Amino acid sequence: MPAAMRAGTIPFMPYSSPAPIFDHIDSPDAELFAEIARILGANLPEACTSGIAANARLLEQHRRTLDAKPTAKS
Amino acid sequence: MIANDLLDAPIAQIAQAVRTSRVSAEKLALCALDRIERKNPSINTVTRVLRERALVEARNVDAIVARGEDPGPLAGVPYGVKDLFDVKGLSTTAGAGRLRDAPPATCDAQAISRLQAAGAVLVATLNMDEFAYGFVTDNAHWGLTRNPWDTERFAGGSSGGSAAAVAAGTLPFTLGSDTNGSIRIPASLCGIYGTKPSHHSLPMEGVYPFVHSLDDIGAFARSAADLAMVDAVLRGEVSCRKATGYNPSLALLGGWFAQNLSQAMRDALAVFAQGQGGLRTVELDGVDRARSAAFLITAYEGGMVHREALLRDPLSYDPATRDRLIAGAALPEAVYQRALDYRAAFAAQMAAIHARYDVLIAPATYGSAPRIDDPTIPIDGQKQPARANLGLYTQPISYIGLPVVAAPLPVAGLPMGIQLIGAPGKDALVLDVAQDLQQRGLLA
Repeated sequence: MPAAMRAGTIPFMPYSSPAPIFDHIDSPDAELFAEIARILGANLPEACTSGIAANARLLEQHRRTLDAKPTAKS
Repeated sequence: MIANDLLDAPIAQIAQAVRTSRVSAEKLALCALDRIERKNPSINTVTRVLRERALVEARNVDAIVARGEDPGPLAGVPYGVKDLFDVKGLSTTAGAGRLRDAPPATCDAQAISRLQAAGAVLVATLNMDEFAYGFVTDNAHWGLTRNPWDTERFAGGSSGGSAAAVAAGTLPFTLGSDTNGSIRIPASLCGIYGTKPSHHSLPMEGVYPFVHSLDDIGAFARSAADLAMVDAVLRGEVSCRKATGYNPSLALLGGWFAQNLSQAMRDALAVFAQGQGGLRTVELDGVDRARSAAFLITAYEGGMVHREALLRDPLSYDPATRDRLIAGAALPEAVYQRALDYRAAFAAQMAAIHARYDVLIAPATYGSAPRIDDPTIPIDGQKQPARANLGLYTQPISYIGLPVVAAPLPVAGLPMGIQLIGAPGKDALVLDVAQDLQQRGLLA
């Protein structure tokens, strides 16, 4: 668990990289799934491939929204 | 009034009848158990019926009355809890089949202890999305909870069993939890009242964790007055305080909170505003960023909580939950930190608005409950999964930990509700406003 979660404090960390969360975010599901399995150091069941890939892409959408330059009232 | 009819009365009236020996707590518990037996098959709200425990608790209340003592403000009132509260002697499943045989809890959650000390009688545990990760209460192990208003529609979630049990008239009140809208959404879709308190202002001991930064417990009830009574007990207050001589100012949240609404919700909000003599509309910047930040915090912290078990035995999870949690477990900490960082700026904006208005009004859901055979909601002209997206209007609010009462609008047909949003710590004020609005007929 990261220190911020344990302590309840929020260190300032300005965002500097526009890179997507996952390198294979625009690749086929199987490649994105394999990247996530590598990150987690796990052998994940193939049955999870499409579900995990879909959720990873959803997270990337939210990452882009969070990091987007603020616009007018939204 | 016979015991069965009394179950439909305001909570204060039920408790008064028990305290004055007009009805026994045991008789009320038996009536509630009978209602569960009759009503639950069509809506599937209950995961475990606690008949033995309920009768023991009820007889204890009756014994206190017989001694001439006061059993408390909730004397003999039957209730249920979302299946993530520790109940002594039971496995805390958090809606997961994989935890069905977990070691039983050695004591009750603190919230349950407080309710018991106030005389309430626990009769059931209630259905939820697995590990509270969803907005529809469609559970691979315990099944789908259906909306009592139309059983072809979702009850909402993740505290769907708790909401539907109250809406069906099975129980006078229930407990749930709300991380991103899990009380406010089912309250809206089931046409009842629910609280999302100021963050961590109600006791979380003995509640299965999901997202520490956002998790809260709260109550469901049929009226704002009932909700205030239960809230006071959960806070350990002696009596339900009501402010007098103060006229709170209200405003509507516009912008994000006025987009993607059903026509019925737009119409109902307009009627509500007219009933207030017209309401000013205020807007916030960056609500989309707040919602996305809440989404990412949820994925990251939820993934962290479950990472070890997920990687050891992923197939023991509900697939709909598992794949979300695994993706979240792979999120970099830096993204999570940025999601946390944005809170200060968003909260400051909201604080500036709350300096002018005591209570802000926003929809709790886009409209009424989605159909089970079409589990989507329209967002920006596209159909999106209801399970992940019903929190469109609730997530930005819980992201900054504000107190909210979800309250039903007086609409014909399927119910839908609004959020009454207060400044941090102003839970009692929001409950007061909800009671006032209900008395004036502006809430159902």
